[in-house]
Amino acid sequence: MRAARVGAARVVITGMGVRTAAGDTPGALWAALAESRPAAGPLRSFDAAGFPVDVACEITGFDPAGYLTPKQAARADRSAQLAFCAAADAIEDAGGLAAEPGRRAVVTGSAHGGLLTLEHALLRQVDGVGRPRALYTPMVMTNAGAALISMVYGIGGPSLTLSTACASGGHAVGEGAQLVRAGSADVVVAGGHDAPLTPTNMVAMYRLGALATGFADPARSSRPFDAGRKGFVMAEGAAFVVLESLESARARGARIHAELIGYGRNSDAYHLTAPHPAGAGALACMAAALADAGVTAREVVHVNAHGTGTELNDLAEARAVAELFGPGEVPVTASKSVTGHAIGGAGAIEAVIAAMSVASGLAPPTANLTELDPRCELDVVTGAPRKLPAGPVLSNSFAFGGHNVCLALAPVEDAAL
Amino acid sequence: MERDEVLRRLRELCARVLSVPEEAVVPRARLVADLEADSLDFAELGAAVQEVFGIAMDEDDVMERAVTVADIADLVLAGQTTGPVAEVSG
Repeated sequence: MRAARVGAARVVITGMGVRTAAGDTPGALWAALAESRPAAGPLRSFDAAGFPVDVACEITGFDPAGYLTPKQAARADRSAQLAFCAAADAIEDAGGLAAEPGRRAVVTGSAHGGLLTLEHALLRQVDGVGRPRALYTPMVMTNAGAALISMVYGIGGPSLTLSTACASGGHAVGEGAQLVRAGSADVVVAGGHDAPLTPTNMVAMYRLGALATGFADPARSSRPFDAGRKGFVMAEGAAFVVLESLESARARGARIHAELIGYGRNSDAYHLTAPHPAGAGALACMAAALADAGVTAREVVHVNAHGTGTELNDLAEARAVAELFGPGEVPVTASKSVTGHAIGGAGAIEAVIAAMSVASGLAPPTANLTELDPRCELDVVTGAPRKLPAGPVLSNSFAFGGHNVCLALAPVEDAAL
Repeated sequence: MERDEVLRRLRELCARVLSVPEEAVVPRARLVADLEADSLDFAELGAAVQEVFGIAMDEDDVMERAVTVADIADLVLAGQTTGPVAEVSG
């Protein structure tokens, strides 16, 4: 049984929405995961002839019409548009925002803000000066998604944006839960988003050695924990959840996807791009989430790994998981094998996936794992979804800069009331 | 540039900036009353006019001196006689 946190509200997820290359609803995303259908395909976001990277997870046919007016859409970068659509779906899924405007909050995470808008203006430079439209700055700012969501949904309480690279979405969900726990808001729209598929950004990540490329079949490019991995596949995407107290959700008869029972965040304080090789930061972060949740490692039924498919991440994360749970003792999934890596959106996308694992009692498989890297002492779920006992599920995100976050989700446990 | 050409380019420009159909951008169309332009649109219009016509025109110029699309055309034509301020090409 979980130890109750004295005085703090229990936080539950009552709404979820996504925009990913693997699906634009949680159900479609889950189906892609369950069937191990990678979203990675040939890079088409820009003219890629002669480009050093040949693969990406792109959302094809995305159109914010029906969510945003033409003028609202024209004033939002694709990243903020993806965020808004995912948040709108989450809010609808929750049955609306059940609090007066001043008690509503939004927390977004984004690494890049309006990167497409930024790059478009700068690439058209004349004599060293870019050619921005007048709305360049409010479209490029990382808080543009939060601003748009708050304006359309009358969110008059805190609206915040944090930027912790690949951990942004996970931190946004965690910090959103903290607002409910602290009594700063009654309902929080929280999630992450990025649209990072620009030529300059992709070349830069390629030069850093982080991106997979050169596979005969692009769908096989994202291979977390596989001996043949070459790096991650860049994705665009967004995911949002609606968070509120268990008491509020019960009072209004809302469907509860999962309870967010624990939140850990810390820093490697080690290196700009590499994780601590022994996974010390990742280990401490997961331990912090367990301590916050009041559960032991033995109770955890599943870990949704950060699992990018870079050797540095996979080895460090595998060491941390094996150390905390015992080698091969907990089923692990790397969803990025299907979704790619949506950077600031990734942590929120995986929080939604973890919530679906809690709700369904299933761990989705990891795609493209044909030969487990023998240095990763993990029980990686492959082939088909695996049944899980009811219990805590962890979702990890570890970022450039050593920013770590771990979310612990679980079915609502009445005995702990 | 002849007035007809200025109006043709303005039709495209206003439709894009104001998110309205090109056919709505007739010379007598009022920017606020008919095309629902707001203050942010005027800022965008000023920047776009500068890019397309090479004529410096800020938000206040457009807001204070242009009621209709034809008024912007007049400002562009007047600006052309005094010479372009910014050397940028569309």
